[in-house]
Amino acid sequence: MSRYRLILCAWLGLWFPALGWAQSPPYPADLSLLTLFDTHDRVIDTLTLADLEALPGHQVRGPIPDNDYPESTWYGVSIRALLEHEHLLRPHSMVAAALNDYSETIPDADLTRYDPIIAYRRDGDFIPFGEYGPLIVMYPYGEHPELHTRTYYNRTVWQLSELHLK
Amino acid sequence: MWLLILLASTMIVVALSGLYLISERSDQFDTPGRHTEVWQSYSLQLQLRELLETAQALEHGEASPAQLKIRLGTVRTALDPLLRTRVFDYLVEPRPDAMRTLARLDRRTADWMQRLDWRDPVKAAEIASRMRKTLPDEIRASHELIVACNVAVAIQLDRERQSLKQTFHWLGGFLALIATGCLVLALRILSAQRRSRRLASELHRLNSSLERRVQSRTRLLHERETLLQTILDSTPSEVTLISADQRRVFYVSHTLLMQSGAGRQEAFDLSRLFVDADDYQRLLARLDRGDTVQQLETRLYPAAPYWALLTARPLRIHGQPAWLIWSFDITRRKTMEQKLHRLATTDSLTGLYNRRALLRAAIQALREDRRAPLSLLLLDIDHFKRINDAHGHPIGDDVLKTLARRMSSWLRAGTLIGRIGGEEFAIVLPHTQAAEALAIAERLRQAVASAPVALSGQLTLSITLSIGITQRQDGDSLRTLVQRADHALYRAKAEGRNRSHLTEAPRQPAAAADI
Repeated sequence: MSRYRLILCAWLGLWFPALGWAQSPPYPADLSLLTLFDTHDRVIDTLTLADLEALPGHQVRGPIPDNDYPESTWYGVSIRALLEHEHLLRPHSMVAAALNDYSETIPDADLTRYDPIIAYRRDGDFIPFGEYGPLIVMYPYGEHPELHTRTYYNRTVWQLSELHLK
Repeated sequence: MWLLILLASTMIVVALSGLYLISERSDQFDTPGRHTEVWQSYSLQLQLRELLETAQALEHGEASPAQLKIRLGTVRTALDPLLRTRVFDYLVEPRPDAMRTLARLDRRTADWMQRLDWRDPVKAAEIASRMRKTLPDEIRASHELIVACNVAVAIQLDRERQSLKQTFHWLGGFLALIATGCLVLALRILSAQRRSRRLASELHRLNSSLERRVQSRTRLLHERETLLQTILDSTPSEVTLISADQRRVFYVSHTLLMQSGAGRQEAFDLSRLFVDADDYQRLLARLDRGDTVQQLETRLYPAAPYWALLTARPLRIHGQPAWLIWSFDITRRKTMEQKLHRLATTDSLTGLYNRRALLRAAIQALREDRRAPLSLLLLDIDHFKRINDAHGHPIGDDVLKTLARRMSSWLRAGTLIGRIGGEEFAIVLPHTQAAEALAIAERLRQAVASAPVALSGQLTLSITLSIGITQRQDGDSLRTLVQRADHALYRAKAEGRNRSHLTEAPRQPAAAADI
């Protein structure tokens, strides 16, 4: 009996930090983290952490490219779900732009096939600005090992700040 | 052979080495390589410039502390990959300035990050002022970092190219070795195949020659066997060749097979051929001892017995003991023999013993039991000469025949009776005392006298007998016994015929004088 209780505790211990219920972000809660642009580069919406957290989230496993960290568990909002929530038609593609002026195009096909997320938690913790945060486009590398190519590494945009529909 | 094994082993080792090399190298290519350090260093410089601009904007009240902190975070993030990369290990000559710049930037930005508050404008202004002073130098210094990254990445790419080229060289070598091995193996297989084909054709030739020889040999053997069979079948003798344990019958003549009651050769049973089981056992015993049996007379074929002369000898067939038994039908010979014997011992007129046979039988009876009583009767037909003279010899012969028949029927079976002279008969009575013999003689005499002999042509003749009787005494020989009986007969004749006279035995002492 005690053995089962131990396993249960361990299991809960693993998941509770991931849900992050008892944690506040390392940045102001009212800070707008992501701006959505339509095809004419007009702002559709700006989203704070609370907006993102209000949407249904799910988690994937994957690495941050190009820095040799081990894989992490990422939790966030599916881009597909975000677009649905905003009542937006699925675009042909979208450009994910980062705070560091990096950008890469994410085709719509990826949303159907891999359902990438905009992650705001890494291994259960919110992600600080100084550590690739606060938002990262993350693909489900754990489920799809074939994603380990430069194409998808390029689309794994860290410090995501803008999403331009095309 | 060993060369082939060595070659195959070497090829396997080479192939495995190649596979190991491939797996080891392919591990390196499991994830995309980095080679992004040039961009990262450039990005770092860009972020430093933007941080400087933001710091200046904050001083002019155009940016918030949060914006400065976000910018600083971007710089920290841009720094992180460069701090973690190992690309600088590829530098042939170290570039300490670049390394120092990296370390300094890390230290300073970490310090600013810690001190900067999201909403504290005083502290933000203070740090922004600090940034404005130091960052222009850092931006200049970061150029050296970009150069260092470029050089290092270029060298890294070239090393990887060299390593790949080396791998290809190795794999090429392995493939060449394997190809050579395959070539050698193929040549070996080809030569082995040619050799085996040659050997097979030789073997085929040998086989067919051998087959021909076997066929001719078989034909010869078959001919011999047929010849032997013909000889055996046409021989007047019957033959059987049978294993000593009688489980296997190699040959048995058709006649013997039929006579044993068996339908097939395999069912032939030697013992069922014999009428007399003792003969069979005797033959078996002698053969078992290893003796050759010559001229064994026995009767065969229980259903219709006949006399056969057996010759048998043990021999070995295929290393196993066997018996060869020849059987020769001697029925005719036996019949002839019996006829001859009969002729030699029988009086041809009366069918009784002749003189010689009777005397021999008497001697045998005397020898059989020297203590037992024995009586001898000599009988003579009275005045037989008159019958011959009056009616002729054929009538006389008829009389003799009729008398002989009558006497035989009257006497006990086993009584020895013979015609020992013209009209003289003798009867040997074993185990019979003198008195009993006298009684028998009297009964005989009276019977003859009282029953006239009826002959052909209504002729009836009365005949009488004179009989001399004597009994065996101790020390008697046949001669003395006959002499005494003869004497008694003489006395019977002298006393007037148609009577019996018993010679009393002489006293023991006088016996010697009588002989």
